[in-house]
Amino acid sequence: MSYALSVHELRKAYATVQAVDEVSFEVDRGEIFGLLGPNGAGKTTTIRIIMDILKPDAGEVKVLGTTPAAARERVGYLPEERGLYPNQRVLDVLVYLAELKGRPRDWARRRAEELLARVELADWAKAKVRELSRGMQQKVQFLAGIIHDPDLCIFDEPFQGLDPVNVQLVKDIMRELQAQGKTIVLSTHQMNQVEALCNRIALINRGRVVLYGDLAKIKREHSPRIVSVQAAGPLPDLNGMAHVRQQNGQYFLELAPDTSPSAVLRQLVENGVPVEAFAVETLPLEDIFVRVVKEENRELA
Amino acid sequence: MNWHKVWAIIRHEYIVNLRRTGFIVMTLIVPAVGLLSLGIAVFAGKAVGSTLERLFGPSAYTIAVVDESGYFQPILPEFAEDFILYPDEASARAAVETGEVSAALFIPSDYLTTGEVYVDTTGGGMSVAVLSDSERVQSFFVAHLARAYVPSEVLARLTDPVDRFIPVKEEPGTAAGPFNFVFAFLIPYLFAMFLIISVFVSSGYLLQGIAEEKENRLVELVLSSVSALEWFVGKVIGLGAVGLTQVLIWILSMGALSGGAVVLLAMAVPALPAYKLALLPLFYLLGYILYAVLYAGLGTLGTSQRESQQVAGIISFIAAVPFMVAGIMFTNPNSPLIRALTYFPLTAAGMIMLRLPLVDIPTSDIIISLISLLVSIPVATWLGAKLFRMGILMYGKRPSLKEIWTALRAA
Repeated sequence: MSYALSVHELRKAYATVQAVDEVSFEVDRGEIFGLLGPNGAGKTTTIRIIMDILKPDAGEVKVLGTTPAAARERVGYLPEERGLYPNQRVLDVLVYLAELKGRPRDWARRRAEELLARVELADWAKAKVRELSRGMQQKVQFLAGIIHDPDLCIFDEPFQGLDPVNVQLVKDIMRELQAQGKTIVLSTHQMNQVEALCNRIALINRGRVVLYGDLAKIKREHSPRIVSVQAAGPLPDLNGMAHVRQQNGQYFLELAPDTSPSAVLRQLVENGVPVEAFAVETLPLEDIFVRVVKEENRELA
Repeated sequence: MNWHKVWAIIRHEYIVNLRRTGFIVMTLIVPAVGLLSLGIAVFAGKAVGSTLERLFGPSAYTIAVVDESGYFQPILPEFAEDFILYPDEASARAAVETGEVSAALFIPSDYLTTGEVYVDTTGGGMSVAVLSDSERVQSFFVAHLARAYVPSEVLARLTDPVDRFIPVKEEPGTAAGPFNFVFAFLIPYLFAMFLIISVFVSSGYLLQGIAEEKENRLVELVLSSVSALEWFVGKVIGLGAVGLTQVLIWILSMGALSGGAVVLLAMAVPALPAYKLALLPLFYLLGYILYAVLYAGLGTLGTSQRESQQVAGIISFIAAVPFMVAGIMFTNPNSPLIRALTYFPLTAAGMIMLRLPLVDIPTSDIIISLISLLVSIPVATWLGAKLFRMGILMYGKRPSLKEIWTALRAA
């Protein structure tokens, strides 16, 4: 089975900057993939190339096994730079956008009505877009990205301007899409949402991929090498420790470079320690993101 | 090119713009003004008309004649209807006073030597001047003075020497008549005028339609669904049709409100050979499409509608050039400048329209200008779509000349 999206050694330069520099990554079918990076990292340019809005200087993009232009009608897009026709009716706008994706009017109308009902906006179908609240407009924006029932969805900051209830609603819809076999590429600065939704990620900084792969694996690799242990009694002296700290009845063991967490657990069991809780501490994705970007920028400077 | 999508864009642009308050108001203004003036004409026209007729139309009324010279008795039958002999000055004056006649002429016995005629009118000095200029009054004097010496059939010609002048050289199939030359010009001239009006009107819709797309920030979403070329073509046709609709409604309403104009046009049609008549709408359409494409392409270069309007103003100016050189064209219809402008795509349509009735325009000129338009339209569309693609993704930023050049070269 081919990838839903494959980006290979993509390059794109503007007048003075190399916006995208040898970017490569693959997105599996049916997964939710996080495309992350600080502002100006080259995410939007990469997405625009995937969407066939821009042409790359070099490299290759395959969308659903074909060229971006050929796959256009099977891809849904929620751009960061977005809006709706303020003086037109919600339903009309959605139907028009579906028509632009090659869907027949009648089909589009039925689909739009279904989706509006799904996001609790059925009563607003006939209202003009400008009569909607900002949050409602954001939801309509989101629907505009999936109105034509695409196989691959690219959402750029989909949670922008949504309250927690609607953030949950959008997340639920994303999971529903995934359950239907759709592939989602999620680009956002909200790292907690990435951790909640994504299987794999690519982190782009200054036009280059600096982190890529399975999210859990990345978190392990960037773990601070600290194991937290809660036990009914005091801990014995353990081998391979760099530092041991006790806090609120919990031990935080910083491991020496060649010590693995499982070796620590084995020692605890062998020593008959009554272990109540054992966990490998991980950094939040946000911290990994900040750390990697800072390191990269320092090296480049 | 996916025409299904292009059609969706055309329909969307057309319907959305037709519903705009601005469009409805602008479209209704012309018929409304026409109706208003028609109303004024109906209600106030009668009073004004009768006053004007009384002041300027002596021939429509009878004139009393008191003849002491003897040359004007009896009055010739062809003048008997509006000239009536009165026996004396008093009775003639009384007739003027009561309105029975509108003026009285007193021809004294020494008229032949002095050439003086006394006048009494209800209208004052103005009417005296009109009377003295009146061809009918002049004919009355000539006919009566000459009748003693001239046979009657010569007498009739004497007062009305030529009924019509007929040109010896004529275009085959054209109706001859004194107004033929004017009529031959009427329809081509109107077409050229409508082209300019349509171009001016539609430029507004095209610029607005494209500036709004930028302001509404739907650009990326739309460009992820259709190609820049599809979007561009759809917009040009949709918005262009909006402008044409408006001009068409104006023309139809003017035609409906002024029946006379329609009659005049119907009379003008045979003044031009059929193939020339057929060329007019063709060139109109081609000229219009070229301008619509250019406006849409350049419209994306400005950051705001006002800025785009300035860029577009330059092209609007070129649209009017054929009328500006009309003077040269009348004196020398096949001069190098006139021919060059006929070949230049932006002025080709207007120039052909104005030149058609003038002379036997060389067929090669018609063919070259046609080719010039047919080639420049796809080229402009293609380049316009490139500019459009570049310009439309730049929010609040004006592309530099270098960026424009890069975009065109990348094309």
